[in-house]
Amino acid sequence: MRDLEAASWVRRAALGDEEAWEALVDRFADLVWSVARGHGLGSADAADVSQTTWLRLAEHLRTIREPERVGAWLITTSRRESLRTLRRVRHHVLVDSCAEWCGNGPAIDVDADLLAGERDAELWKAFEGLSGPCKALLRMFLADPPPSYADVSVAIDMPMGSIGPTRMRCIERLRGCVVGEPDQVEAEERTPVTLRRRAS
Amino acid sequence: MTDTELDVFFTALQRVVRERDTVPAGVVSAAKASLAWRSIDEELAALVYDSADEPGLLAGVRGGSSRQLTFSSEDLTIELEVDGPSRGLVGQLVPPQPAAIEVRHLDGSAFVSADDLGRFDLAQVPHGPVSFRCEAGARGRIATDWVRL
Repeated sequence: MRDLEAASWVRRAALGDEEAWEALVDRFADLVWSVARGHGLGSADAADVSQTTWLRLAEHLRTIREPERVGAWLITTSRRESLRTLRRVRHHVLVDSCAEWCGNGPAIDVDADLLAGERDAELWKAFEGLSGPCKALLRMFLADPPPSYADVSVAIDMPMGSIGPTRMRCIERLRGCVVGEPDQVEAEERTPVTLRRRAS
Repeated sequence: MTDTELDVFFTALQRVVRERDTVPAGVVSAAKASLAWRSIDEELAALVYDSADEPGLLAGVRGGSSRQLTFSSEDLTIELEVDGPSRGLVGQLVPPQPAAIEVRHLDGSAFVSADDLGRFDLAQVPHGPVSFRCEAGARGRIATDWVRL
């Protein structure tokens, strides 16, 4: 499906329409941020990548070839900029193995009596500790609002039909690394729940 | 594992991430302010080469590497070399020609001149996004893509 609304924002913003530009930012700012964070950048670098991406879009408004694909353009641009940043600091992780995914740290044991907030904190910590293409892809889909499959397909050069299954496989893998189902703990009364990083 | 279990897990993850790591308000307002930086009369010189895109090129040259970038518009090419440790910059306009160059940066601009051979330099490039606006006589005005150097 073509994103005609976004396309019209691009065309209007190219003529200086601030309202249209703000609508574009409101729709895609969290996605651009998520791309940078999904590549493992810290807040300061993610803010710089976001800023660079938006400044670059402002200059490209007039020349962008497919305005209805501006979402894909933003993913591509922020991804490239994130990778440049990673190469500069030389700790890029471009492959994910389960070891990289899960780390070799000690298991995090979460008692069933813990408050939901504490379990969330453990889930967050585990997710933050992950890296690799699956993390990057999943983090993109955690953006608010999430990107369209069409935009992701164009941006990461993966056939549309593969996006859904790949996304599911990544969720499955992540869940395998982060054992435990925080939302279902309530249902399983007094059963000790382990939310931990698997050793390999 | 059922799809429902995965959905439940993803929903939990979504809630956790959205509570802790949505785009900061300051980043959104900076993005909104970016429209004011768009060029009206300048031709865009797009980034066509960046040595930072080549995996391994920087690796192994511990702390002592420079980065090369090329921006290109129809009439003018700008080549840059940035020294890693000192952040000093040397630039070259192709074809060579004198020009007034504005180094655009969010905290203010720096101004430098390219000599008759199209060479220019800057002791230290600012951190954060920068763009080069170039006024080159008959070849008109161009502005480069924003980059972080």
